[in-house]
Amino acid sequence: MSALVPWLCVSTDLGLSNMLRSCCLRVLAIALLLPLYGCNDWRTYRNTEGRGGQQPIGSLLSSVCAVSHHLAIAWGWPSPNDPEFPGGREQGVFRASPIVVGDTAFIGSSSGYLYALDARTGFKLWQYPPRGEPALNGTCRWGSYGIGASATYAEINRNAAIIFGAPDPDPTIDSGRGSARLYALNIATHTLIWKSEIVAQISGCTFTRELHERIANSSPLVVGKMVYVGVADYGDDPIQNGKVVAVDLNTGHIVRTFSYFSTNTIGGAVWNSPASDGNGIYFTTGNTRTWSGGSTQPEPSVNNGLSMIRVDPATGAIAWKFQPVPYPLDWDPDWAAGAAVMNSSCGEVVESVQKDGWTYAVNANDGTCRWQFPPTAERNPENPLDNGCKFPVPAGCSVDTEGRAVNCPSNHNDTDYKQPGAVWGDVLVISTGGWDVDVFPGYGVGYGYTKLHALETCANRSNRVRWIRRVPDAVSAGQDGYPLGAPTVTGGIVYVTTNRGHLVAIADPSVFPPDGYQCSFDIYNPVSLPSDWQTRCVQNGYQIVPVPAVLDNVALPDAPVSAVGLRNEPAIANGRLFVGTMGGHVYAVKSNVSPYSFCSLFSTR
Amino acid sequence: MRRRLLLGIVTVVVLAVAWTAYRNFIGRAFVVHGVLPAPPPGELKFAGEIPNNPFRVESGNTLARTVFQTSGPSNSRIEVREFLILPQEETNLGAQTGPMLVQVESGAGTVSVNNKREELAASTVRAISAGQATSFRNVGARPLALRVYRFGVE
Repeated sequence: MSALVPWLCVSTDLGLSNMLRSCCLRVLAIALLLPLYGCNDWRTYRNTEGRGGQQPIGSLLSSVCAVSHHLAIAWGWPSPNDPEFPGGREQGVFRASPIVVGDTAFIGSSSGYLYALDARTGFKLWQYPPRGEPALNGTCRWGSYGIGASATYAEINRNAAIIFGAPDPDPTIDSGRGSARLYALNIATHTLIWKSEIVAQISGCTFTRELHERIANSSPLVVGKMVYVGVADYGDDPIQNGKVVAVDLNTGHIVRTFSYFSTNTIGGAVWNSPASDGNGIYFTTGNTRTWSGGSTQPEPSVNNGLSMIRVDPATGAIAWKFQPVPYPLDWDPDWAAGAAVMNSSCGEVVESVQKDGWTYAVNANDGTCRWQFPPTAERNPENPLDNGCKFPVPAGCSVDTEGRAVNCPSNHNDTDYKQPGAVWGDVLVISTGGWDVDVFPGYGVGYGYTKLHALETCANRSNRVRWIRRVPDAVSAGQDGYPLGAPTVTGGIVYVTTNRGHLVAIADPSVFPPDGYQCSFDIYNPVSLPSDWQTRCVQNGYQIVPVPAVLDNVALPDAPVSAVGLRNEPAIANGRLFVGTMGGHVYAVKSNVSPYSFCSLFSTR
Repeated sequence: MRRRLLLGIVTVVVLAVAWTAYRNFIGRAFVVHGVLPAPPPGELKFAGEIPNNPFRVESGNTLARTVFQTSGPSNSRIEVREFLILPQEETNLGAQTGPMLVQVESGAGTVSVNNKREELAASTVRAISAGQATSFRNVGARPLALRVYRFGVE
């Protein structure tokens, strides 16, 4: 690698005469290419309505030679001596990442402010609410989370706008406890276009069966003339009835003809950002049986919890639901990561990982399961349920009239696979449990927290794993499930933030040679089986897979403070990466290779 | 004059071709379809992560590791070990000096205690008294994972 990079990255800083003499055609070509740099926005969480987390437009960030050991901080905000921000940081934390529209990056903070930053310099352009006005936070604990999910770009009556969700501090609205709305702002005038009606209500501030609804984790989805947002709770205190609310894009009024609720009681929270392919709305739902303090309920007669769901965009009617973990096995494995739509070479699928560490690809048209990884149930001959993707209720396991499980295995638990995957061609790059959750159910679930798996959607089971990479500077202590943010990808280069404050770039082996190989189940390794790890790996049904190379590993300036919030991702726009951190900073990272170098000609293969 | 005109046309064509090539070639980031080629034959460079406290091959062709051990009262010793019995393989633990509890984490197999064979089901616990010859067989297609709680004399 080290030999290759200098060759590819020959600088053109050779003086004009040399340059003209040696490569005038190259200069001409590059000059022609430059105008297209700068038109690749990142307009919502995961970039598109399909929530694929991919930047399809090439840039230096999709060039191996421009990324390899060449990432550098372009700017950080706030600056250490910014008088507006004592301590050189925003007061809150950034649990989500910026979206980028043109030359402006927008990001919301837990402190209840949305900021517009100059994407080229990091200077603050404006904020909402303006300084001196109350932040978007309630007085109640459940209504005090600010802006926890990314904003979304939209055009409202031909005006460029951004839409985001936050609590309303107005004391005349539910006593200012923090019932939440969607807000639409005019980008040009920095003014409010509309506030929606209340979409998530805080009806009281005690731990009872009050409404404690929040939109802290759901980035708005704009499809046609509707805006959709998912409603969840806070730490299951207690669980709320999950719902998706649709509001009119032009007015902000709730569209009453659209209705989706997860249950007829409580549960099935929508912890994620709905996705769409233009035909359906896709999302995943949380649990229904248990919540804080060991509380339980009998199974609701309408139970759409722990499911991946497609609903009709106009009515909210369920087109299909896929519920792999049945109610008796529900020990709180919320399906929190949300759906990612993939137009693969084998058809349209919707993919996601459940909190218990199992990943699924579901056919978008009918909700049947294409595959499960690891294919635990598939390998169980007694489980013919939905292509072997659903977990059968074991003999002897039952639920009493209070919803308490009796003799039921507890390996579908409150664990932490909550980040969506990145879609790239037929490949899904995702943090998933891997084979450990199959062989060590219960306690093996955490082994995958610090790794990324690339999974082949259209391959047969024996070729499911494309590669595995443990991400450097991602630390998981015990059951700490937040080492990695959601990965994003462009041109085969995967970007991910870590809980030690790093931004890591990983190259798919199709664009750069891997570091080496491993068994897809890491129990088969040269220490455990010194003489025959490769042979045993393959003999026992696993794969020898590449370990992709790390092209660069950048410590963000506030490292080791975590750069992983629940809805954090490296946004890829205008040839730069934009991330928010839990240290109250926003950073832009770029390649320090000149766009006039050879690298700009290698932004794709 | 004609030469200049020709040069101008060529320039326009070159620019158009360059622009089109850019839009098609560089404007869209590379996207792959299809699986990666098989790894090169022969000894591969291992680049994966060795798990903390890895399993190691023990006599009887079993993978095992100790996850906890301590001294107990009256010179007793308590040890928690994990065993992975690979598909279609059998391991012989011999006769243990103390009793043990065998918890089946996953997989399908059998246990033979003093030559009497029984099926092992996932998520169940089997008690085995001291001094009994014990062996396990994996009858499934994936590893049989056992957690064994052994109580012995130091």
